[in-house]
Amino acid sequence: MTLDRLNRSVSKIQIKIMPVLGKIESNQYFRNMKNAFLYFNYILLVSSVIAIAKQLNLMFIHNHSFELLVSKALLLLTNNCGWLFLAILCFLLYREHGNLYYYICSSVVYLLVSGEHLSDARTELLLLPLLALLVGFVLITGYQFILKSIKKRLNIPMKFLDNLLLMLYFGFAFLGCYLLTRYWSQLGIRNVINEINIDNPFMVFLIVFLETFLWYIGVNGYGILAPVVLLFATSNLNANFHAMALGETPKYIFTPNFWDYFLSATGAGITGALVILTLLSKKAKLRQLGRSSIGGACFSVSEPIIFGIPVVMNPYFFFPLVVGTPILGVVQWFVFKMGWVALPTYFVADMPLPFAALLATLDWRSLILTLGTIGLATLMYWPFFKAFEANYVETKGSHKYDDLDLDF
Amino acid sequence: MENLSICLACNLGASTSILVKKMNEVAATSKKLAAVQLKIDAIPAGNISMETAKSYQVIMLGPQVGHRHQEIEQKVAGLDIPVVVIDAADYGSMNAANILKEAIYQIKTHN
Repeated sequence: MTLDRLNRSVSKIQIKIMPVLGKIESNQYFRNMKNAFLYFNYILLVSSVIAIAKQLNLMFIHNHSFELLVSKALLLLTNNCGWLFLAILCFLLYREHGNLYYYICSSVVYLLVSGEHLSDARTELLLLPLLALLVGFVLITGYQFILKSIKKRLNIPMKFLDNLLLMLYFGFAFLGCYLLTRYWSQLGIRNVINEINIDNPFMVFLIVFLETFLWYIGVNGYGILAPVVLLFATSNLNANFHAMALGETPKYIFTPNFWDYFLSATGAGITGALVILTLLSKKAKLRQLGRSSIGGACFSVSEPIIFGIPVVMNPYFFFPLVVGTPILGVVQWFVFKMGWVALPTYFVADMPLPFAALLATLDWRSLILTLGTIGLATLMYWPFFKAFEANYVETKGSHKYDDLDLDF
Repeated sequence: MENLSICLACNLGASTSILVKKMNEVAATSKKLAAVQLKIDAIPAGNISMETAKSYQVIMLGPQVGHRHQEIEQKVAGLDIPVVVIDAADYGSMNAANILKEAIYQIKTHN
């Protein structure tokens, strides 16, 4: 009864939130941010290969020249990550809308605001390119507005006016940006920005909660959250690479690897646990569903099991999915924080389990963490699954396709 | 029906890629589809445009991107092809046969 009431409330939220989510995902900036991260993955992969080579050299080979070489290469990549991200984002936006001058202006602004602090590879790493993009857009819009206003009042050769205004306006605007950045540094705002981070238990809970809640209402939570979460998580990963290049110890836990290979091990909501439970089910249809979901779970793809059972809007699974998995996420975060498993410092893209966890940490104890997480998640889902299973009715297929005259 | 071209879309094209493989396997066992030139692709929903969709007869969205149905339908409005959200139960159980049937059903009954 309580679960039904809960589902009615969630259903009301679902109706209100769906059109908003649709609008967010169709937004050009949101879409291009998401795509920018997809392309940026290649840079993270290259950095990871170099970092792994450096670590293996430290552990087994001890070659000094090689150590120097990989450290320099890694430093070069981490120092210029902001530029690379800005370039990818600008290219994607330009490809869609043209207007190259927006992106040239943003690049100059980025050069001015990053300046001598380029080696500062922390949270602001990917926030600064976004800020530069925004300031670039504001400056160009301001220039166009002033030019239009002047042209309304004065009747002089247009090209001359355009060039004169362009020189004066952007000369002073860029100088202003530069001065502002220097003032900004003195105020310590850079440090404040660097303190805004997601690498704490509260944010781990919140992010996993939001992700699983979105899955519960039938929306790909990762797809909605990725542009914002990856902004911080990727900065953290780059900061870890940067620390490694300098011979320091990486310190950030919440990296894309932590999200992909640990928080979402076997799929968002640790749904591999449900694959195990369906495989052990007494109902033939659920067992069949479990068998067809094994492949997806190995690659952390949760859709088959989430829509197959279905978990979506199924009140039996609200608590383990939406409340339980965030708690498991916090537990995992603390395991890393306590130093029981090496930090997930290496990005290995779409590698399947258990190789993803192993390569991301280069630590065999990550396998125990992954197994332990799946085991705990199975125990957590078990009573809810049993209650669901007891009321599960196997349905028969419809006759909608009978007229198609097909043989499958 | 000599040609069948189906576009499947999800968030990153990952889960629909699994489905593409299964749908091709189902089609390969069918004698009725033996003479049909079949093309099934999986792409991220965000990449659907008039340009990418023009070579398909139907666009099928994974239920997890079902909330983008209207947006995608508007994007390809000029092509006059059906845009449908795959049944959640069929998608979840990776019932490739039913999803292939639905694609053929949509193509045949469109307009």
